[in-house]
Amino acid sequence: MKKTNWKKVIGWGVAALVIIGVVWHNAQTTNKNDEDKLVVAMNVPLTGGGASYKKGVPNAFKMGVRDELKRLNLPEDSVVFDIQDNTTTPQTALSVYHLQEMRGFDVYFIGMTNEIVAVSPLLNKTNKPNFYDMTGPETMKRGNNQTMRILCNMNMEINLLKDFLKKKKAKTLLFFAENNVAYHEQFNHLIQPMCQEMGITCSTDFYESKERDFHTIVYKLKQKKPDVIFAVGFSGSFFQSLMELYAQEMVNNNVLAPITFLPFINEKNIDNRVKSAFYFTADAFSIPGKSEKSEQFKKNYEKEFGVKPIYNDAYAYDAGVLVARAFAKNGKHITAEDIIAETPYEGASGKVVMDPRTRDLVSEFLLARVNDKGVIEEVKLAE
Amino acid sequence: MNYMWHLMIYFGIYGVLALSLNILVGACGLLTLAHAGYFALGAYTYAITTVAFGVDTMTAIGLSVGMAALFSLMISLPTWRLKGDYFVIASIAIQVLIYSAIYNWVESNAALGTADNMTNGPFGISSIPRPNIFGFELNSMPKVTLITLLVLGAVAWMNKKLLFSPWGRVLNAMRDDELAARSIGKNVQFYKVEAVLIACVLAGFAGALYSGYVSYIDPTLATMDQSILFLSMVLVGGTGNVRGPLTGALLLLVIPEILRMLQIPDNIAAEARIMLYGLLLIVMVHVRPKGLLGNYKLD
Amino acid sequence: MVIALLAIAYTVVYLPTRIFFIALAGIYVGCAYLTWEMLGKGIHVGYAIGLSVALGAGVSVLCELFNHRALEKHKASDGAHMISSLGIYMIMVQAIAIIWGNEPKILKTGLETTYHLMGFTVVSSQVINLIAASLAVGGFFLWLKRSSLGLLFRGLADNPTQMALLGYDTNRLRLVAFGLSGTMAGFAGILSAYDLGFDPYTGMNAILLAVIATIIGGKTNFVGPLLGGLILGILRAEVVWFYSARWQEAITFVILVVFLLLKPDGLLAKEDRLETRE
Repeated sequence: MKKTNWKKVIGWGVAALVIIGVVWHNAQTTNKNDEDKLVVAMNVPLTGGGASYKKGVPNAFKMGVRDELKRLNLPEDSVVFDIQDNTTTPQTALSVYHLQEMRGFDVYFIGMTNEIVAVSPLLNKTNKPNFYDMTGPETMKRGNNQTMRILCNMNMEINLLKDFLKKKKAKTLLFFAENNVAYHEQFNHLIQPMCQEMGITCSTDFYESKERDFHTIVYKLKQKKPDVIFAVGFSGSFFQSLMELYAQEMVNNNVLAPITFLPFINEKNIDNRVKSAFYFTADAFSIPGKSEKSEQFKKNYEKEFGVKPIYNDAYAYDAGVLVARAFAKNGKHITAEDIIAETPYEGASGKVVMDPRTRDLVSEFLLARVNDKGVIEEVKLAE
Repeated sequence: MNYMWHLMIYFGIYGVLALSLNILVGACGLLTLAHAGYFALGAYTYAITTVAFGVDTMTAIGLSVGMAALFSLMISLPTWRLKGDYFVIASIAIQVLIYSAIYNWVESNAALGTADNMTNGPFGISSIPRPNIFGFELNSMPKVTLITLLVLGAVAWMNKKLLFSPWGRVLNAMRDDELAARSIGKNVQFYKVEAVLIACVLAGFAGALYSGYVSYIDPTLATMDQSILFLSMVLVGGTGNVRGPLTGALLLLVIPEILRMLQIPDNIAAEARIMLYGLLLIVMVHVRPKGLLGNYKLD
Repeated sequence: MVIALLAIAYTVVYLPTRIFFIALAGIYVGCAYLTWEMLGKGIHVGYAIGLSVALGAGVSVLCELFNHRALEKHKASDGAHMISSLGIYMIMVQAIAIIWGNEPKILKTGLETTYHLMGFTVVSSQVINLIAASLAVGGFFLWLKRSSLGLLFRGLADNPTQMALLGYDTNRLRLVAFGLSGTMAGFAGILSAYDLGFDPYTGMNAILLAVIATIIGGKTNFVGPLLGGLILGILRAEVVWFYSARWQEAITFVILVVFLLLKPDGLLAKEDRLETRE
């Protein structure tokens, strides 16, 4: 028979206690304590592919809530935040959701499409108001009647695209997109029907979000000679694809990009001639001088966080303001209806309205371009 | 409480995975980076059969296990000809192939499970129904935890029996000196196929469990990072016995929790964790090549 | 061509030491980041590249000094070397991600001249890459054939044990190997970053391609990786042209498997005596 190795037993005992202690400790950081405080849980990509767009969102949302509470003379800590990073992977988003559900929340905020797909079946069961951030057209179907969406740029851009196609008298459209649920939805449900209506032939070319080498891909596209190209994506590979389009001389006033083009303009190394070659859609926030409140928001945000905000932050700010207002009127147990009742609202992203059909918080979208001095300005195309 | 159940379920699933990988790495000395592929195969088979074809749980699990078994040949056959580094590279190749297949076998307009769109690619498969074992539906966290831990217990017991049996000793012999093992008449190739089969089957089974619990899967299950994670579990915890992999699984599950408690800023928590794994790997190799509680040195 | 350069860099360590130097992937991206950082501070391009490459070589040498040499003393297996190298890689990549963030970065300005050659369109960044990488490769082979250190190095690559027996300082030569490898990998990383942009994870993919190139081309000498790199580059472009970019990775690895099964020593391998094979 083996002798009991006491050192080992003690070692295991200590390890077990430590583990249990840690898990218990983490589980205790709950916000359930204060009955009348509003708990907002955010499940957003702070790292990973979506990070460049989403890092500022929690800050902006918090700022929106805080500013509104201050304006209404309510204590700043009457709203508590539980912000977690889902690293732009659905699996992590799910783990984060479990953690946040255990701690309890009154309002939920989740970003991006694939993560929403993973979490929504569980989230819907709670019947708490929830915000989807920037997803495809069909993703809303996964939510319930408490779901709202901020920044569904695709619904707003489709009209601009239509106008663009008409004015360029295009017969063929190429949808050059990153391989992503949202973009597939955009093509199937928005773009293709529109093209059919207008009698335009549309084709697609999807590239992987990890793709970097676009030399051959774009060269292949060149052979198709499309009249208009709608190039979509976000971050790294998207910017590479744009640069390649330009390098291979395919950008002749006929390439439109969505609002995700904006960070491209902030890329330090890229020459202005490349940036000014593209048309893109922008909201009132992004066009300097278009909205007084936007400029104010930009100044305040930069003063507080040290970086310039982007359009996504403005939408988050506005959502925060609306939530704070609803909370002030209705207390802790607010519903989506309470939040919607606070619109229309003149906010940091322009005039914010809730579209009743789609439950999108929308603001005005315009066609824009970068001028020779590197400044964004609105563009109106001639007939 | 849900969070506690969640952690225990993950421990169960990853424990099974670590044990299965241990059969290859610890007992056979075959360093493989393709294990995530088999995990994903099991998960996807379970998901596709239950979502697209409405198959019941036990059959789905059987099918997942079967698929993993079939594809285990992709690993066992190369072991006949390739050694050491080459085998690792071949396993990377297999992992990438499985990932590509899962990622690319998609057609947005086709339904799941058809010839055009077998896996839904990057969109993932959602709303996978909860497992229903002969009428006992696993619809609450405690129930899932119970079943998962029971499964883990069974697998651990089975592993212990296997690894310390004559069969297990042949594997160890093969690992230490293949030529010598052959010279005493052991059919090395056959043993390799068997060992790989069992390892992959267990991985597939873990995948099916995972699928049933999480109810949403996507190709990130089959990435290289996952394979590296599983390998880290086994290497850090210890190879060659049953305690080691389980410790590794436990450790790699608890470390993120500890980091969370230390209030490491969220924006570097994920990176800090992986850095820690890397550091652990290096330290283990230098200081304790057996891993924390293993009984086989990696050389 | 850049793949070929990285393949040679990897082989430079692999041949003498049989180490699967995964940390090279970390140096590959690390140098790109250092260059980006320095350009951001206004340092002139030449100095930025030179300094980052030198740092890359330095890191590589440190790996040998602190990690691999210690393991070598304990007669650790190749597996142990590989795992420790993997650990170093993980730390490097995560450190890069913490310092500079996960998002992809761009080095070039986007303004390129296009050249139309024989019906093909080629952009200037591709041309620059081709020329620079070729110069690097050419320089390496020149050094190998002409310099006395190069001669010693070739000996080390051929048979390290015999070199030690003949009285040469193999430890110093190993340091040379690591340093050289770091230099070439860093340079390759910068070139690739210039053409294609970079993020903390591009290194792993690059090193895998380099390893595949070595396997295809032959791992017993230095020309093999060069050939393998060229073949691989052309094949991958063909796949994108005829099918779609999505199948590039899959086809690359299918080729790998085919080679591993049919001709594991690569196209240009010498037939070794059985004892010297693993």
